[in-house]
Amino acid sequence: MVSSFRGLSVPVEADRAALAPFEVLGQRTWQPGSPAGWPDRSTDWDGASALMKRIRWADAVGARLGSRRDALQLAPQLLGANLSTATGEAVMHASSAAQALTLLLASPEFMRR
Amino acid sequence: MKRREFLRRGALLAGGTLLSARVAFAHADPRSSRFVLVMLRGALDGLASVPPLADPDYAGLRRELALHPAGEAAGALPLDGFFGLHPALGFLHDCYGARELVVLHALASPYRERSHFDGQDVLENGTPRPHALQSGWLNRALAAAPARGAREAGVSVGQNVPLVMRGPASVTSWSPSKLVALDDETLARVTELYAGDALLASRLADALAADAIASGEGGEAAVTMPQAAAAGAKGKARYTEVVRAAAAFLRPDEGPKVAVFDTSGWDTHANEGGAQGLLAARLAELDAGLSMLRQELGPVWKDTAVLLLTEFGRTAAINGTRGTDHGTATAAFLLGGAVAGGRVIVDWPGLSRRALYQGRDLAPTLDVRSVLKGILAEHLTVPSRALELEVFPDSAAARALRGLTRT
Repeated sequence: MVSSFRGLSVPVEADRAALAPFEVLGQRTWQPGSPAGWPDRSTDWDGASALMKRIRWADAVGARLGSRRDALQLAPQLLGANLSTATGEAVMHASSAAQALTLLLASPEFMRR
Repeated sequence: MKRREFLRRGALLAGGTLLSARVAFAHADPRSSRFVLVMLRGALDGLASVPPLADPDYAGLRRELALHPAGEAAGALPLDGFFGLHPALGFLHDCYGARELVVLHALASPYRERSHFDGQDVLENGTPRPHALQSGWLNRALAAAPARGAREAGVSVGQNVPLVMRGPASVTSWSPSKLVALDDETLARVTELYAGDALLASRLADALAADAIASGEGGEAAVTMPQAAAAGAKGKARYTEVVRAAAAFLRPDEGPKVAVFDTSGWDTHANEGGAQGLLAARLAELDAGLSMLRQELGPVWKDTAVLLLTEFGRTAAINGTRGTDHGTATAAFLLGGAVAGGRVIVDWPGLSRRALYQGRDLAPTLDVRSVLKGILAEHLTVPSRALELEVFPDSAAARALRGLTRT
């Protein structure tokens, strides 16, 4: 997830509010609850509720940054060869720049990145 | 009305005494004028929101989505005999009756392609071309308007400052603290995006089912609650924080006088619905939000003009998925206590095949910049020279539409 912020060029330190979505996701960015770090087993991430939280996070980031980022340009930069036709079209036909970024960040290939 | 008209003419004839006449007789002191811009992102269907009921081609183009004439069951709300208002817009209709709503129709920005991104960019940057400027017309207008005392002349309410409000003038912004509920339309598109991914599709379906149970939707309440009431309640929830914040900024005399906020979910490609359905629910939410705005503004509503704008309209005919695709001209709304309302302002081009733009869209007969120039000049007293040079470059053909407000 931090890598997505890098991809979006968000000055994370400067905008603490941008970190709020991480709290919503149940993970505080730099403070894992265990020395083993954040769990990355798929069961921790792909539960229904966790998925919904990630979609809400994508929505929040889209709303906050979408009008200043071109999701059409970002799509190949963030996903490279993994970018699917379906995601590319969804981004292109989004009804606003904010929604375009949300769809990019909520796409199956971004979820599995 | 007659008297005001007379005074206006008198003031204009008097020329040099225009300013003093305004202060002495006009409805409101321009220094107390408030302006709210509401962006409807996704391209609002103007022919569904303000149906031209008496146009001979309307019913044939809209088929099963055509609204019934005023007076019939689930019929449109009556405006001027030719146009009606979508039945979900009850508050707007009350405003029309109170002469506080101007409906503008067949209007468009200079943009003539069909991309939401570029269309919104043109609508916001105030030039004829997408990405021509990195600032918005509203901000540049604030920079050129006489100072009104407040440190920040405008406020942007929402998750980000939209382009229309960015630029040289100092503006403030306010974001809701909580994540707002996910937009239905965005959720529908995410669902569509997961269609080819069995795991994500089933997880999302589970999550939505759990949400529905948690919020009581889909239970008995949804069955017994009338659709309009349900939409009203939902709209209240969607717009509550934003509307309250905008009103709180605008109410004090010493605060910003201009606010902007976004709405979304107007991109009705499929299952748009008629008197009821997808668009009807969205319009009902918006209507409830505007009603709340009036209530929250309280005593300064009389000084307020609220403009609802969308990037472009939708095709005149419905498509194969009972929706409409990206079009050209559309409708806009100007409401508030400061609005010289109770009118539909339109040079109606008609809906015959020959009259349609490129054979498929409502043709534009009014440039949105004419409307904006009129409001900015008369309501916010932005100097005409600045409007022509800085706020709307290359817009000489779009003459200011005067008399929209009472200030």
